[in-house]
Amino acid sequence: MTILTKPQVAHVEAHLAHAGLPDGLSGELLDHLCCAIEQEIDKGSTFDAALSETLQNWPIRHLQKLHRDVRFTTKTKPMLYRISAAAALLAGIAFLSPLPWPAEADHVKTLPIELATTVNDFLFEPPTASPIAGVDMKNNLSSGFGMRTHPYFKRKVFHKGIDLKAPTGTPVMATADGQVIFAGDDGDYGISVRILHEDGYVTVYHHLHDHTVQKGDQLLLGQTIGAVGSTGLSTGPHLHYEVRKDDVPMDPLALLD
Amino acid sequence: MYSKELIKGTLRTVVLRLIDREGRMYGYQMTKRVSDLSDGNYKLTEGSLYPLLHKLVKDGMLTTETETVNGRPRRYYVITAAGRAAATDRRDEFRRFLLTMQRLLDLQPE
Ligand SMILES: [Zn+2]
Repeated sequence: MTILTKPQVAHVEAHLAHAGLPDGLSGELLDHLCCAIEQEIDKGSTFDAALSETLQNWPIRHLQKLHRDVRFTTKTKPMLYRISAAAALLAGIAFLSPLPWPAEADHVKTLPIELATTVNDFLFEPPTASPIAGVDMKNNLSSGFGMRTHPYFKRKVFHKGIDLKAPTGTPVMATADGQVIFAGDDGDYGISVRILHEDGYVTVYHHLHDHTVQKGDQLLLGQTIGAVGSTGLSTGPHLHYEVRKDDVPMDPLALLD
Repeated sequence: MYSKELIKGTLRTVVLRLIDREGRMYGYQMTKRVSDLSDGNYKLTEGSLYPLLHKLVKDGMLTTETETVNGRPRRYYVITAAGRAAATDRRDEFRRFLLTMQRLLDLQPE
């Protein structure tokens, strides 16, 4: 069984770097490509031959297409809505523009595909996954978003997130790709993790039993960040989960519709 | 090699069943296993595998664990209880589908 050396892995890494993928996906594909190369070497190929064959099968545009497909399939809102919104915008621009709209038939035909790619590349969907795998947020709510009587202080305060019922130790996962900007003890909020996503979205996880990620870590959707607990000012094991956009708290359940 | 349409319609069933049986698997291992089990006839391309895996994670069917193996981080996909249930449902549905196809296409054992 061949195991690639560090300098050999670096060759593959350099190729992947050209694609500009997020760290998580890039790391996953690095392992995949390295496995493929190791297998070729096991079958009798040299490293150089196996490397060039594998990289030829994985040109940069394939890697980038894969990234777009991953983003596309993990979106909640139908693509049609996004495309029609962008098309409406373009039509508006065309209407206002003094230049005539290009009339070639084949140009018009390719437009929707280009739009799909463009829209897909630039819009980041808010985090909509459940922070507890396989658990529907709506069915496990113990306290919703908005004004409520605080369970500890017994007075009306604004609840900036939602509380989800779950036993201590239940794994908590990142609800979108992003980077850890805080992991540790956050006083009244207990052990907490905050993740920065694209487009100014931040997700917050409070009252954890522990955290298994550190500040600066690059995360992929679904990666475990810690476990449900009752640290800080909490009356029992639960997960407090927040989604903020440009520092404004949003109702995570409203994002699902 | 089977057609794209057949693979597209069965990919989710196959991947859920594989991970259900193994408990946890990584991407390359899945492509290898499917290729071995099908004598290379069922081609699980990376281009369709990874988007599906990320979608299944988002839907709560799988979670992930990262471990360092051979000096590189390796991302394992682990089945959840919801994933197990879905794997069983899809497998049962496919079994019924096979029987229906047998009748519809009048297939005799060769
Ligand atoms: Zn709360």
